[in-house]
Amino acid sequence: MGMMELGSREKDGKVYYDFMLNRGPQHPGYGPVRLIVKVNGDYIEDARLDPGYVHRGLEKLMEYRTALQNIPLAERACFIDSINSTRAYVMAVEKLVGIEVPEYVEVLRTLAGELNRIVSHLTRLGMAGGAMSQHTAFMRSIKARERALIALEALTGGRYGTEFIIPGGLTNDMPQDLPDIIEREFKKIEERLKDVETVLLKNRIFQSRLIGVGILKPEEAIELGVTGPSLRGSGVRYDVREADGYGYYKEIDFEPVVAEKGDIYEIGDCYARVRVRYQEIRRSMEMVRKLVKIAQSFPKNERKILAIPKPRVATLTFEPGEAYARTERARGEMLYYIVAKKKGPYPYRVKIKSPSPTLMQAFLKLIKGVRIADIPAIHLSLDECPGDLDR
Amino acid sequence: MGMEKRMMLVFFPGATSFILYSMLSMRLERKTLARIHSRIGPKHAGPRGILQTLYDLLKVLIKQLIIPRRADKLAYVIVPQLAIVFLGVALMAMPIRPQGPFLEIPHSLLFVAAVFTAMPVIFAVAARSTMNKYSIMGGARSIISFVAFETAKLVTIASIARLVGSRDLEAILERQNSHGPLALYLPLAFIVLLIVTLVETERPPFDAPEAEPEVAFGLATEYTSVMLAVRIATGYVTLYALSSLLSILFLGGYYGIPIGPIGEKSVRWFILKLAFVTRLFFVLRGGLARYRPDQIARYGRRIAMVLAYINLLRAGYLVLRR
Repeated sequence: MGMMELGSREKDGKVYYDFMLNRGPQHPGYGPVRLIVKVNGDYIEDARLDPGYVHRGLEKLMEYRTALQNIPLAERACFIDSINSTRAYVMAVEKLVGIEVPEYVEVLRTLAGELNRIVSHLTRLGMAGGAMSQHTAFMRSIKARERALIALEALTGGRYGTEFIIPGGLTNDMPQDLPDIIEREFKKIEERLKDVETVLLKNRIFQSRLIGVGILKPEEAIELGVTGPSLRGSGVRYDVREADGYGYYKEIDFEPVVAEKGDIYEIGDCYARVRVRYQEIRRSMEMVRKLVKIAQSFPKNERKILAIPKPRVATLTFEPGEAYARTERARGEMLYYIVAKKKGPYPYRVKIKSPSPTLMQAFLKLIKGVRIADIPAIHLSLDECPGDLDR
Repeated sequence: MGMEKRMMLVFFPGATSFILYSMLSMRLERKTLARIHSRIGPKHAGPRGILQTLYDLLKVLIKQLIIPRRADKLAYVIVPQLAIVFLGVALMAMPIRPQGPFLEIPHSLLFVAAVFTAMPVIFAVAARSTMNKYSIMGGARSIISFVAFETAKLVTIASIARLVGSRDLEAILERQNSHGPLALYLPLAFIVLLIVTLVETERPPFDAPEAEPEVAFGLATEYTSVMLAVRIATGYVTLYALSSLLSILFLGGYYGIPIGPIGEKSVRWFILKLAFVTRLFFVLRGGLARYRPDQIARYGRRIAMVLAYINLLRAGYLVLRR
């Protein structure tokens, strides 16, 4: 893997030789994924990806664990946005076993998912700044993320590995003071977000690095199967939250953020993608505020967090059959497909379809012909995660 | 060489001051940036963390020095140190104290400017000597940005010489004593040289030669131990030399207003101005992002050049009006 044919090119009587460049696998800032590029001068001629450095065999491991034991594995597909990933798995299990969860549970699941989306987007927004040497934006967004994590911790009891969503319901109820905590922390996040907007999105240098770079056309994006904010950055209105209307999204009239023709940027370029992510943070915050009010309005006797008795959660048995469920994660569409062949506690096969492989397909296509310095801009605007890529 | 001069060679502007300046400015940079980032910065080593840079230096020094097998060993060891020697020579020609410069050189402004033109050559050789792809790319990027701003820099320096009517740094100081700091007469020149300093010290937005996601650590990718310390120090000593030049050319160097214990002519004035200019660069860093190398080249050849020529015209106008 990785060897590419190196040639040369003649121009104006001079010979220019190809040059092979390794990026990763141990790269500061991107996690373990190796990229091999062939460059001629400052331009990239060809690029190949060598993933697999964090392959944990999640799908295989899931075949030897019960539905409940699989929760930590489902979270680790990409830990930055664990809630929305687990939710897809749990929804598939619930479909297969045939459990209907109460409305209150759906509200809290959606609430936790949106909080986790804020965490993920803030991390990646900061990283995009860090890669462009804009460390002020990085530190400010990481500080804002800390605030979102405090709110998430108050709700779920965990920061990254929350293990909040389980088949049949939730592990714990919303605490009494959650609305106050969320209001308090969101005020701080909004302050920081304003800073991030000033030093990052309105930064002329940052704009000059991203605008017009790595343009992903809508047709191309659909053809490559790109999902998530990267697809919406290309101006395609597709969001699983809207398309499926799963959970509680239909009831709260969710509307996705789609890149519109701007004054300074083109639809589908790196800046449009980063901007969509920034706007999604604000959209998620609106939704969290709405959902908290809805959750509060539930009377005490309707606040049931488990649809089935507790012992049954640990001893769920699969009937022969198959089911799939998908959710919109911070990076794109997350799909779990579970097959059970015989009656028993273990699934026969679990297939995870995560957003990162298709994002990397788009990445490899976009970096052909651009300059070496544009690699980090395109990479971070697509928002791929190595853990999610390898599984 | 007298005893006093020998002492000067060790302390000021000698090697001791390089280390002291590097360490103090590194701390200042960390603390300044920490405030902009809204965090605390070094805190635990010594009172208020002032020993952190000393510990960092010691840590780097006791590491094993690994020279790559394919590297040109002589060049690998000597060339990065040459950069510091050249910068030291430039500093020696600068009148940073009332007793005059360490090296009495006629046309010292030209001499200092000439010494700085050696830097890209040094970087080129240093990059080639390590035989590492990232070092070579980093070195190439250094040269691109240095060369792009070279003309603008020399034109700006020429405008100062034209306005003052002398190519001697001490004469420039004399004029500022009688007429007021040059930053008031040629603000554009000050801005252009500020930008040039950002370029030559490889600070954001011109830190493409050290851009981590693109070229690892650039020139210093293969450097360990003492050589890494030398490479990092080169950045700070360049900042030292160019900030000194800026405070001499535009802020009046060691001349000041006689207040209390500090006289009208004192090296303390110079140190104050040096600290001010140095701090300015650290604050600038917080709000900027990184340009691409081709953007740097375009910026240097177009915008900086235009500014430099407008400045030259202004200097000519000021001379004619006299």
